[in-house]
Amino acid sequence: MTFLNFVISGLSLGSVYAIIALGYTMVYGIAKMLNFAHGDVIMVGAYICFYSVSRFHLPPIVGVILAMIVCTMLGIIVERLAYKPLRRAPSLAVLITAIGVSYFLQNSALLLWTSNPKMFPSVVTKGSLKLFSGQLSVSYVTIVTIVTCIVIMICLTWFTGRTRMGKAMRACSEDKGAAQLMGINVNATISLTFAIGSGLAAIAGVLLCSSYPTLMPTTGSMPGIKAFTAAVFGGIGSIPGALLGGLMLGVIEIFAKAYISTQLSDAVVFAVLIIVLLVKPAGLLGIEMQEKV
Amino acid sequence: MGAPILKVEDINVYYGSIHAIKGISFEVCEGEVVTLIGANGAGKSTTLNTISGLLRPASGSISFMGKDLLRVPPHRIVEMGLAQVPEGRRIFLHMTVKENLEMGAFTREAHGKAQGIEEDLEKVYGFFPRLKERSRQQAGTLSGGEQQMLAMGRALMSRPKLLMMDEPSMGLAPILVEQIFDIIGDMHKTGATILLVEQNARMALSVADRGYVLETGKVVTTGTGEELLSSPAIKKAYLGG
Ligand SMILES: Nc1ncnc2c1ncn2[C@@H]1O[C@H](COP(=O)(O)OP(=O)(O)OP(=O)(O)O)[C@@H](O)[C@H]1O
Ligand SMILES: [Mg+2]
Repeated sequence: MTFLNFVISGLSLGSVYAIIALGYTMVYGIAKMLNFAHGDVIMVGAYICFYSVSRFHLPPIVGVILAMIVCTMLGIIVERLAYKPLRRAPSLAVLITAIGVSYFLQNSALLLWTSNPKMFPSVVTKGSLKLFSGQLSVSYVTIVTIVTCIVIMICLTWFTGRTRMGKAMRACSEDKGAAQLMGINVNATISLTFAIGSGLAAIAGVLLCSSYPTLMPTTGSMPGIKAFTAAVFGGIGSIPGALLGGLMLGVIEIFAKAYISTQLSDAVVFAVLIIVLLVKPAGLLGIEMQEKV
Repeated sequence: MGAPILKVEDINVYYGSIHAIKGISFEVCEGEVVTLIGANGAGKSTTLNTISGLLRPASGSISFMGKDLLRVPPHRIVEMGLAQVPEGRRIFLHMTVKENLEMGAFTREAHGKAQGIEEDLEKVYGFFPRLKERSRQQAGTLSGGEQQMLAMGRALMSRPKLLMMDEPSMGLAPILVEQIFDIIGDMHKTGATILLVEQNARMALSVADRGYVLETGKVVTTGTGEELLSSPAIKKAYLGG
């Protein structure tokens, strides 16, 4: 049963990566930029939830909603102030700006909330589910995390596939000029994408800290990098790719920790990434662009 | 011929320090087919993109149906009845044929004016039956000619009062070029107003009521389609002698 336990915790960690990776991938798809500050939005979301629940004694669900609202606004503001003025700038300038925003958020958190780690109270208070007459025990946090990831995926697939704004988002991802010729407000669509990505980051932050409860201003950076890896792994720009990449990364990481070495687990994760990219440079589900003349 | 619905007056457009459009003026009246012809780099696409709001002129004015277009945010221009079939088609390759056509009607869905979209879809399929057969296919899998049809159909889905087309015949086999021009001719007969940019000057001038000849960002000659077709200077420069 330990094997099954590893699979389940891998899927749970992977679900968190997948939710973060969705933000990376959607923003990359539309703005063609790597928003390195995305990981730090997770941390902000976790702090908002932490203070709502631990200090103001609000119910966890209210904490989650507040975290989502704050992160959504944060995403919109960051895009507006830091990235929008660089829409036509070389991508290196945008990348450096994103790294700057990342440090800005971390340092602001350091000032506001100090570097003392906080013990994050899990938003899922129920213990664990015992299966097979107690042989397999699965915590409810794990279940909630996986289910949340599935629900988010279904909603996003519906949104981008079926709704008018979702289709506009896909159109902007492909060709902003052509999208504008359709009468789509490109700036508003990019804002919306940042808003969705950042709202999801808040959820990811809460779920992550519910399983791994140490909250610090740097809490978001490593999961951010892993999720970015997951997005590349699955094929950056692809929503199903983010899910697949996230889940695989989570499972590989847990297995590497369990069967190889805790210290080496990250190295194993990145080794697998490199091998996949050697075989499929566009990632598992990435689309190689082909154009007709 | 009706009143002018598009009036371009003395516009200057720059790409950084490159002065691409140097004081162009022209107008299009209701029900007219007007063509802009000129060599590569004359500034035809730049002119259309400026009218569509993708580029902003440094000076000059553009009015559409009596409204100052330069005061309208770019994404509102389509809503006013101005659509463009861009150079190189620029359809959404990873969306289906039907989704591409729906994107053409994007602004109509905005204000609860969604009615009529289904009928217009059928109308476009009437013009281009091939698109109906392929409606669920990814647009990237269409042939070049089919993609051009899709680009035209997509623009028609906004129910434009003025349709601007940038080199619809580019890269197409002669038979498809004929077909595209037949469709333009048909649309003309039903009263559509069209601003047509073409390399294929002979074809363009034969369907157009009037034409303007552009050279390095300036209008050098203008006249009716027949006048330009029979002008010795035009023959020499654009019609291959
Ligand atoms: N994005 C751009 N940046 C800089 N210069 C540009 C850009 N686009 C066009 N130009 C320049 O502006 C001028 C006009 O270009 P435009 O594309 O309008 O020509 P055109 O008449 O449409 O030509 P063609 O028949 O080849 O399509 C050209 O000299 C071109 O090099
Ligand atoms: Mg051109």
